[in-house]
Amino acid sequence: MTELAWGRERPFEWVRERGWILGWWVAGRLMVLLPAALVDLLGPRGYTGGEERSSIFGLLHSWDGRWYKTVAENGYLLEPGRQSDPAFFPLYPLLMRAGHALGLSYATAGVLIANIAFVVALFLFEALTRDLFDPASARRATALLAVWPLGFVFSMAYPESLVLALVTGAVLAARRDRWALAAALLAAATLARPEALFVTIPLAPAAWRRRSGAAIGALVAPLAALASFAVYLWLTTGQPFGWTHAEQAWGRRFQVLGLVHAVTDVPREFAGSAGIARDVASFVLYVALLVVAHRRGVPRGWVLAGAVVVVLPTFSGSFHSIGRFGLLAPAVFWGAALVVRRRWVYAVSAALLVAGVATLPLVFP
Amino acid sequence: MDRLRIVSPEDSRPRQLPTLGAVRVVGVAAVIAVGVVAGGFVLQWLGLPRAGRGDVVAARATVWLGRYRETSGNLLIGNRRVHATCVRGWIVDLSGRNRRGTLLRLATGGTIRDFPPHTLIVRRIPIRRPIALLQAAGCTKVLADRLATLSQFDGGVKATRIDMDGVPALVVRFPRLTLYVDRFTGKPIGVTNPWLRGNFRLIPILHRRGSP
Repeated sequence: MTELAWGRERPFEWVRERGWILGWWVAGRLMVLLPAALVDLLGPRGYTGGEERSSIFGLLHSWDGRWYKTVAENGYLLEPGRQSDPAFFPLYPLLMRAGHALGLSYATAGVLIANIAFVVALFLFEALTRDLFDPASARRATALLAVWPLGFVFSMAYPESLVLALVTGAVLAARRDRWALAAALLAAATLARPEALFVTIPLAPAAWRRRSGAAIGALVAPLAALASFAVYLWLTTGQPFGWTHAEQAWGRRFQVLGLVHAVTDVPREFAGSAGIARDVASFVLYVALLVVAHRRGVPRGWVLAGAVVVVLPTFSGSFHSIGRFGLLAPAVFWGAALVVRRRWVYAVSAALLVAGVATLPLVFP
Repeated sequence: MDRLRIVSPEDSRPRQLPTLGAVRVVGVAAVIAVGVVAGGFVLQWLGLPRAGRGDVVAARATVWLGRYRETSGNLLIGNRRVHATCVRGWIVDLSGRNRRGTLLRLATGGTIRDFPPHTLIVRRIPIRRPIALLQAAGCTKVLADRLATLSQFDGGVKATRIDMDGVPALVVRFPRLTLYVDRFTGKPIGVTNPWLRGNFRLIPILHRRGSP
């Protein structure tokens, strides 16, 4: 089993061995930050508001970034039947607020946190992939993650990079039998995005074999974190499940035939916004990569968790944002790393990444 | 009579219950769960701000506006006081078709028809900001949408007590829009913006005969 940085290896050797991760992070982020600045200067304004136009990286704190900033700045306010901020989980705005306390603007703090969390996520993801597979697969999967077409989200004022870092850290901690740490990290991840809950699927067999209170506690921790959010919303907005009410205003409501509706509504949605094509393509790609991952021996729990993360949101009757949601399914990247051997794939992925940034004023991720 | 059973010394020793380990596992897991609930809650309680009282008042006013389709009131345009009625529903547009929208009628004969998202038809009203007029007249959907946006994105405002023409009210001051609500019911009763002032009352549609 590969040791983590803070394991037996010396820090200098560890950094030298994994310096390439920093290289991919820098390259990937330049592919996001430079086009974002260029689009701000020259590109279409699209749906971005005045606030987003106020800074050169304004695009990166647009769309949901604005909602997270609202939570950080003003707290939760539930508006029944309308889109409102309880749909956005509290950990990321808490960190934005901490950044603001250090003198940064909320927007700058959000973008900075996301990018720093992403480099941490890349290191932890590489370590986890190395743990589960082999160094070559870890290298390919990590490089692909750094330049993934929808990976611009990892640089936006969104919590995805933070969640990926926390989730991979939690699994690594569990694999090293540090279940209490795993519990804390999983709880934190769930307070940032509810998808973190599904990481308990691959962890469950190991926790069951371990049969310790801490291991079972790690499985329960995400649910407990959700409960803490419910209690907080109850006391501040009067609605313990305010986040589900708020999400319904975005059309996020489970329907038994949701996936069927999502498929049959594609032409209508496409007529409204061509951006849906990106999410449909992402869905097909993610499902295909999960099938590959399953066939090539990725542990079933991880494939199942990935399938839940990718497929479950479509039961709301739409493919919207699937491309982004799938970023929290590590099995997708492992599936990709297992089949990708050619270098041009990285170039294509990077080109799509740049193109994705250019569409940001018009299409939400 | 029951037969006596001979108990060997080994049997009489207290045995460790097989469930003790399970109880311990469940206990530790429960402690972790309770710790996460408590820790998560305290983190949110201490780390996040609470919505301003004014934001909450505006959000409640939005709910009230959502329950009504019609308002009646007075507008102060310049120095003139003008009676206005506003209704949301099926409105006849310029081509004679019925469309969902809002119709504002002034006592002077002027009208504004608002068909979201992009059509606004102004007749015989010499004003450069018709949306401000719709808001000040208390047009339910227009005002509710504006209040919802303001309370979410320009929030953190206070609600202060005032007396509005003898009615105990709360006033909430957002940028470019001030909302007045009844202090006891939370119903919106007036709006001022940099160009206009208006007070209105919400009219239950069931009390009306026919449709506008």
